[in-house]
Amino acid sequence: MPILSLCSKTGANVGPVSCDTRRAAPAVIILGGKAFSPAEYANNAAYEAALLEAINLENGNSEKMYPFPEIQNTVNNTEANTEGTTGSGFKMILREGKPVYTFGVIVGTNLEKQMRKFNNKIVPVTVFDKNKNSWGKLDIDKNFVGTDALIYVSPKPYSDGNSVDTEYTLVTVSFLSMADFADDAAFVPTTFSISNLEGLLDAKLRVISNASNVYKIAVEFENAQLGGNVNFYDKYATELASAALWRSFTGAALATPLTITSVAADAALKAFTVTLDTTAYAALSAGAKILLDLETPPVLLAAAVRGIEGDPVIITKA
Amino acid sequence: MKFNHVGFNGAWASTKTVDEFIREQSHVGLTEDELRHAHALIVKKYGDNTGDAKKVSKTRPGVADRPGFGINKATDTKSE
Repeated sequence: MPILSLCSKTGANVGPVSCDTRRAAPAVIILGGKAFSPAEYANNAAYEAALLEAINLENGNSEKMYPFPEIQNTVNNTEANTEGTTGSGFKMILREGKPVYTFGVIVGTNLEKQMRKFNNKIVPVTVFDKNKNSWGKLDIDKNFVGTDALIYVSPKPYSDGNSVDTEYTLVTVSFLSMADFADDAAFVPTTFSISNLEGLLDAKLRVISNASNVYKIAVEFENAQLGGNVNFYDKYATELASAALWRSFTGAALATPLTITSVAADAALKAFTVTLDTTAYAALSAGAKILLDLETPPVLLAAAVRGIEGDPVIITKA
Repeated sequence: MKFNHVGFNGAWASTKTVDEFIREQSHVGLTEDELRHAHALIVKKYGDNTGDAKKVSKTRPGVADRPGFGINKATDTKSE
């Protein structure tokens, strides 16, 4: 044995912890930059409420969270550690491989297109596992955040009829730091079922016609099936017939509010009759741009319009 | 403010006389009586906010039609 020991300066206590928790199989990954404060992860109810609120934020909000679809297959593609052997035959690890996972999800073309918009982006990722634990890390301010990872979504190929592998859209998550992934790992237990974790759909606004300041607007989901757009009218005709759920802006930066005086459901067109303030509209010059949109998702949700975010239309006044 | 299948901007409508309201909302599919009823309900909830200037306009035809007259503040777009 050496005559001098510096062991007090190495490692840490390694006593066993009863009922310690391990990562389970991933069920859903959630992308996004929300930092959950200690109050927001103090208990599972607070965390769940904060997470759902973050999922329901509008695009462009830095705290918005995007839940991907349920994972059907997981492949651990973590790079193997690089080992080396000294001339005397002592083998050691020279470089630690960083965690990489490829998740198979079963989705349609529309959702796949949306998911691929994250390609080559470095995004904080929270992994919701099959034990309903939400895994991420603690940041320097003791907030619970996702672990930074590079995302790549590979499209589903044509099925070959033989292998289930051709049925998946593949989501590759390459974690940037083993320290973040392992050493700073933290989790929040939840009571969620996976169906609680659903993202929003874009509700595209389309002008059908107009007469002066009165616009007929369809609210649709743009389907990859040409001619197969899905109209939200049947689901939300009553709720969206409300001036409080729409907004309009004008001006060079499309930031000057333009009053909407009423919104009425038009059953014949399966659209909404949106009336802008007559006087304010008349004051706009020809060629003026008007942005028409639904209110933010939290406002919509409060009015029982769940799961959609307005995709605005920009109108040019004739 | 919801009336039948129409969601009115109550804050805006409360700044309009019933005649102005009917004139500007005549296309939404409600009868004149229904619009009168809707306006009455709006005024009941939001109050009559036509203001003194608006009352003067009753004796000075045309004033209410001047550009910018009676336009609500920006926040009104979010009000029912």
